[in-house]
Formats: sequence, C-alpha cells, structure tokens
Amino acid sequence: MTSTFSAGRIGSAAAAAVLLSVAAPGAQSRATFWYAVEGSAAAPLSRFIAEALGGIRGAGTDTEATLNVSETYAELRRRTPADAVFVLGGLKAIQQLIAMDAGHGTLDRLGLETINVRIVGHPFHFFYRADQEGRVRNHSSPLKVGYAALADSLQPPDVRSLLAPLLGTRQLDVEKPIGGPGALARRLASEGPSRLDLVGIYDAEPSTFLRDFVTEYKAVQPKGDAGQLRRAQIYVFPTNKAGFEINQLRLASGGPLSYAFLRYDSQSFHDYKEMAADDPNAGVLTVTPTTAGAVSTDAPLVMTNLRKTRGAEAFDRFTRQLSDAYVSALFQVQTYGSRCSGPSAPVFKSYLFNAHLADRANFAKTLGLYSHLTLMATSPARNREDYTAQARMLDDALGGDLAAALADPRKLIQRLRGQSGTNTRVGFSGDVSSIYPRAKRALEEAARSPTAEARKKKLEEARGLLMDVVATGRMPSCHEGGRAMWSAEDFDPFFHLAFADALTRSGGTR
Amino acid sequence: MTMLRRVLISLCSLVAAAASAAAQTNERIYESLNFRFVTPGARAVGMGHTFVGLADDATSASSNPAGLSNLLEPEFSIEFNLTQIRHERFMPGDEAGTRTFGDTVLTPSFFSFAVPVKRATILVFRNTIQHHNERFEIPPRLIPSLGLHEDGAFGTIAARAENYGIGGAFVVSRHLSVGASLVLTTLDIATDGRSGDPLQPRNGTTTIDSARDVGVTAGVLFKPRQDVSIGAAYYGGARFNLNTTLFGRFLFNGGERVLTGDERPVRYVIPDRFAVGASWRVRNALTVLADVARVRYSRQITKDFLIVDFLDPGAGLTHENFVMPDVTELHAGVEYRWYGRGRATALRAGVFTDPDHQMRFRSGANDPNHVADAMLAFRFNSLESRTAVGFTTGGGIAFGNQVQIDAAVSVARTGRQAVLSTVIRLPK
Repeated sequence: MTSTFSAGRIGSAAAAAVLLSVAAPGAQSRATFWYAVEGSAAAPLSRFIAEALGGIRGAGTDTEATLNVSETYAELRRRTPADAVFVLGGLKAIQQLIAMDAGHGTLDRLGLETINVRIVGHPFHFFYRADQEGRVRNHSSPLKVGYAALADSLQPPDVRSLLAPLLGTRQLDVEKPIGGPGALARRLASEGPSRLDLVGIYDAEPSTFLRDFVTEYKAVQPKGDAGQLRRAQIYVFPTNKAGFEINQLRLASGGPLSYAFLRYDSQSFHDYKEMAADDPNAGVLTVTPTTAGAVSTDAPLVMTNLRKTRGAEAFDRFTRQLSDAYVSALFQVQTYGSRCSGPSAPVFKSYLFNAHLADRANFAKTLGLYSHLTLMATSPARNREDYTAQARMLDDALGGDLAAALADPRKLIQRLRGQSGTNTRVGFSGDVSSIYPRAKRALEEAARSPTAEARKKKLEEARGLLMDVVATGRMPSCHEGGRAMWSAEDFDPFFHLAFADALTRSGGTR
Repeated sequence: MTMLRRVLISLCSLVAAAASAAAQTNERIYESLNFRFVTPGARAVGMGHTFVGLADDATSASSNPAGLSNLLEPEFSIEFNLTQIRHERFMPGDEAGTRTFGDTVLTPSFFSFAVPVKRATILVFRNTIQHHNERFEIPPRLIPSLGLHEDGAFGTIAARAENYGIGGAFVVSRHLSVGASLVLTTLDIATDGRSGDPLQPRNGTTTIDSARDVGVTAGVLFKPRQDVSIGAAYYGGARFNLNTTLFGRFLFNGGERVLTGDERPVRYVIPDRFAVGASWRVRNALTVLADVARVRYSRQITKDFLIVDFLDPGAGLTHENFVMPDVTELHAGVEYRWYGRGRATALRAGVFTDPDHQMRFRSGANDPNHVADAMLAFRFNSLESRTAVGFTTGGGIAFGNQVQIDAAVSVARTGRQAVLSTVIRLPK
C-alpha cells in the first residue's frame, strides 16, 4: 500500500514498512524498507522523529504496515543484504530484537548498525596508568576496578558482567561506586594497596566529573619522568576487531546492560589527546541505562544498513537528517514546555548533543547546544553551575570558538550566513521581547506551511528576525529583558536558528 | 515714619492678583513660585525624572518622541499624578525664614497612544504640564532697608496647563530615530490676589482667563549600541496672552489712582527647554540613566511684563528690572529588574536638581529713590538662591508582556509628587 507516516499511525503502535529513497540521487533503484517497532514511538518526541525521518523518503512505492517486535524480526529475516533497511524502535524494543536474533545472525547478515546509541546511552570511560598497561592488557593478575556511575545506578556485578568479556578476563575485582573525582584519581595514582588498575566514569556528556577527574589526577601524579610514566590513559577498544565493531548494540552477558562501541575520535566530547591512543579504530564504550528514569529522552534508536547498502555518502546524509530531526522535534513538540521552569532541559541537552554529534560540521547546531547550556546556566536549576561548566567545556573543546563567536554579533551573523537589518525598525528597536516571539511564530507557521514556497517565505522571515535578535548581542537566558519591563522567556535564538536551518534542509518534511 | 509713607508702602505692596504662574507680572502672588516640569510616567519619575536618553515606552511621547520608534506594537499609557508644588514664600518672622503654600492636586495627568506603522509611529497624547492650586495669606513683613512693614497679602491661584499632542517618530536607520509632535497647549487660570487683609483689601488683580498656543516638541534618539542610547529633545514651551483686571487704589505720579476694573494684558509663559540624556543597560537587569535639561526661564519675562504693583510711572520700572535665570537641571536614575515567569518587577531610584529660578529684581534704570526699588528688592531678592535636590523612588510590575503598572514618589524642597501609571502593550 501507499501512504505516508502520520503521528497517529506511528503512535498507534505498530510498525510501518516504508519504502525509502534516501539513497544518493541517481543511485540504482533498490528496495528500502522502514520498520517502526510497536510501542517504540508513542511518545511525542519519538513520534515526531519517526514522522520526520519517514518524510525523508521521496516519491516511490511506500509500504506501510504495523508490526510488533516478532513481526519486525520476521520481516528482517525476509530482507536480503542488498535491501536498505531501517528499524526505528525504543531501547527496550531494540534490545528485544537483538535478544531474538541471538544465534541467528540476521542483524549481522543485513549489516544493521545502531547509529544513534548516544541518544539513550552514555560513555563509560575507563582510565589506567601508562606504567600499568601491561598488567591491564595482559591480565597477569586480578584487576582492581573502581568506578563512578552518575548516569545510572550501575552496580558492581553489572559492571563486572559488562567488563569481563570486553577485557577478556574474569579476574576482576570491582568495587562499589566511588563518589568523587578526587578519590578516583588518588586511587589510580596510589602506589599502595588501595591502587586501582582501572577506573571508570559513567556519566552523560559533557561530564564535569570526567573533567575534574583528569584535573585531579594531573595534580596528584608525580612530576617529571616518573609522572610521565604514570600518566593516565584512556582505555580504548579496538573497533576493527570482531566483537568490538562500532554501532553494534549488544546485550551484556549475565546482566541487564546493553552497550555499543563508538569511534572515540568522532564521538567523544572531550579531546584528551595526550590520554587517548592516536588510532582511528579506537573505540569508546557506550552503555545504555538500566533504569527507566535514567533515560532522559524518548527518542527512538535507529538501526540501519544504509552505509553498507548505499554507501558512505548516503549514510552521512541520513545521519545529518537524523540530526535535523532531533532539532526539529525539540521545536515542534511542545509537550515538555519551558526549559527553564519545566522538565525538558535534559531532553534538550540530549537531543542537541546528539544533533551536534551527528552533524559536527554544522555550526548552527553546535551553537544551539552551546546556547542551551548557556541558557540553563541562567536557570534556577540546582545544577546550573554544571551547565556553566559544560558550556565552557564545549567551548574549550572547540578552542574557544563559540564564546568568541558570540562576542561579535556582526561576525557571527556573517558566519551564520545571515543578514540582519532587513527590517530597519526592528533593528533600531532591538526589543527582544517582541522580536523573539515573532521569530518563533514565524517558525511555527513555516513548520505548518502546506507549500514549500510558503515555508520558504516564513523561514526567511524567521531567520531575518532571529538575525536581528543576534545583532543585539544578547546571550541566551531564561528571562531576557527587552525594552521597558517586557522580557523574552527561554530566550535562545541560536537554538531557533538551528531549527530554521534544519527545517530549510528538511525540504518536504512535514 | 510718616502716615503718607505708610500709605505708599501699603499701596505698593499689593498682593495683586492674578495672572498665572511664574513671572508674567511681578505681583506677590507669584513671588517665589516655582515652575516644575513633570516627566510623564511613574517609571521616569522613579528614576529621577530621567527619560530623554531611554524613552522606551509610550510615556516617551512627551519626554522624547523619537523613543517611540522602540515600540514594535501599539502601546497605550495613562498616568495619575498627586502633586504638591511647595510654594515657599519669604517670611522673616518664621523659624525657617519661609512659609510654604500649595495644595495637593490629583490629576489624570498623562495619556498617550502610539501605533507603529512600518518605520513610523503615529502618536496622540495629552499631558498635564501644570496643575497648581494654592491659597495663601501672609502677614505684613518687615522691610529692613526701610524699617517698615509692608502690607500683608492673600489670594488664591488655580492654574492648569494641558498639552494635546499629535505627532510621530521615524526610524532613520538602525541607529537613529527622530520624532516630533505638534502640541496644542491650553491654559485655564483663575487667580485672585489682594494686598492688605481679607477684611480690608487695598488693591490687587483678578485674572480669570483661558488661552491656547501651539508649539512643537522634537526629539532624536541615537543608539550607538543596543545597550546604549543617547537622546536629545526640545520642548517649545508656550506663551499665552491673558488679561488681568485691576482692583483698588494704586500709587500714581505722587498721588493715587483708583484703577478698579481696568484691564491690562499679561503674558503667561511656559518656558522652552532642551534636554539631552543617555541610558546604559549595564546588564540584563540593570539600567542606569542620566539627563541634563536646560530650562529657559528667562523667556518668562517678556516686553509686556506687567509690573502690576508699581504702575506708577515715577518708579521708572521696566521689564528689564526683572530677571529669571536659565537653569540647568541634572537628573539621574537607576532601574533594577527581576524577571520571572510571566512577570517582571522593578525597583527604581533617582536624584535630580531643581536649581533656583525665582524671579529677581535688578535695580538699574529705575528711580532708586522710589519706594519701589527697596520694596521689590526685598520682595524678590530676600530668599537666598538655593538649588533643591530631590530624590525619587518607585517600582513597577509587568504581567505577561502586556500590562505594566508603575508607581513612584518624588520628594524635593520645591514639591512632592506621587505617580501611578500604566502601560498596556496591545498585540499587533
């Protein structure tokens, strides 16, 4: 049958098999299948992303069906490796699908990758001392492991069952979680019996805990040559070896965890060059939370074999589209309300972070993430200082580029390929309490526009207004004063610029 | 002291009447009377009557119309003002050396409606620029140079001047706006002043009249940066031709003449002003601002200035015997805002100066031996020249980016004021 995705259909929980045409223009016409797994996309954001990604497909013969996990798996078994396949599902559904595939190898046969594990998972960084590398790698004696788990309440048995097969040893002595970065650093640096061979940090990025640990370790490590020998190293995994391939979500044996490896150089938020192996195959472990409350988003995981079946270019394009969908979802799904006074801040952070990871070259998205962190630093949230630190970390990771860009509105506008001053009056007034809501309204109208022409017009209007806001030099804040006593709430023009760009690129989406 | 001289002094010291506020005549009714220009809007009042360099809401219609270009939606504003101009009269016998008169007057003092249309803003407004009521009665005062008492005086003043304006503003560039208003100023005045005491009035004037004049207000607002704005404004003032009616016997060429019923022209002048100001939004919640205003009070003494209590040609008095200084007022204020979900609150404070601008007598071409010389010098030059320093404070609350309510009080030696105003932003 031929149809389009609709929120209702996806929300009604079934699965849809939709013929996609995400392949490069001019590529051979080969079958592309889209599966949305039952129950995985019922929540608003998830539904939107499903819808947005569904809209990526172009004209063609679309097939839609609603399927549960078993039915989806049965469909997958019928697909050939030449078929481009997409599976959209919540973490639980994807885990069930993986469990169902145990011993069958269907997912491997199709070459499916879970390309956005970070939308629900967090990196589990491990560190060891350079002078202990032999011990850590060769397992000549039991390894003492300590860790801090901020992203979820991981228990020592969970960590043990996760690490044992990855490190290739069962001789692991995993201590209960350690609370502070200083304690972890001292235990790693210790020469006494309290020394840990491996310390892990499981935290959402950007992680101030991780940063503080690195700082603390540098403070306690010896100076000079001895210190160089005992420098901390990030334990990376060889993604070019079987069992460590990137984007393969796996279930930890004997435990509730699932994990995947992501390329360190493409996925890490941090840039601790001196601590990481200069190896393009170096991978970082990413683990999905086990408790529902630790999953900050309802976004679906996306499995696809697009890279294998349609090539890197098509894969990269799709990744960018997924990135756009994250940003669009945040704008168009109003369920979560205010970032400053509502519960949506973690969702924004996760989506914007993943949008940035999936499209690192996009300055607007990077700025959108940075401005979100800056915005939240002005909020009444208890952890607003963390946001300040995270914004600084992001800026540091980019060499101070973001703070410098925001400090010069004129250059920033040029860099965003924008143009301010199209409305002289607005430019003179600079009243963000009026201009900013107008820009948002224009974006809403653009998103609802039935025709591409109307959308383009509204997007241009919105972009012009946002550039006028940028020209005022105002920084994101929960309450930004306009003229007189009027104000703009949840003031974050850079997020909306990122959305305008995403909507511009999405073309026919919605 | 001879009886004749007492009589002469009594005649000369008429309390006379009439006319209006400052300096259309040299009558005692206007002795030491200050004129005060009130910046519309409790927000401006709370910040030391400072607004020329900020001018970012509908109340800027009167203080700097160029600021209306800041508006992106129609805006409506209304103000109520409780004012007491403290008219200090020289009273040597009193402990403070002065005695204060002046009623408290409640006025719906300002209204404006501004509508942005592309790069222009259309504006209508009404502004009460003077509303002063006073009833006074002062006993005879000793004139030290003569060693004599002049007569007492009593009377009433009710003066009300209103501006009705239509104008607009235009955005010249992203950094510059200009604005102007055509202003119809109306004056309604009723004064009645007599020398002597209520049981035995000797002479005086009565002025009950109305008049109109058309003037202009123009302004410019320059924003070198979004957080800094610099403004300048000119207020044309107004001149009103009025008639006053004399009452009683007046000294005339060595004798007396009964002039009851005689009408004489007088002018009531609202002086023009020029002001410059600047504001700086130091950070999101804090704005500081300052204005400097030059008020040309000297314009109040015109050629047909009526020296009402010395009509006697023998005194040789002309309008050149009277001076009023142009003064420079300083205003400074600060506003601190707290933003919350759906509302904002603000606290404001300010300080301003009100330099002395009383009419002074300048002996010169007149006859220095005529009793008028000593008497006028006593009457107009006895009070020392002092600059009043006033303090203001106020607050405001805004709801949902639509309604803003402000209140302020202003206290100075020369007057007290309480203001309540609201600004309503209408959806475009």
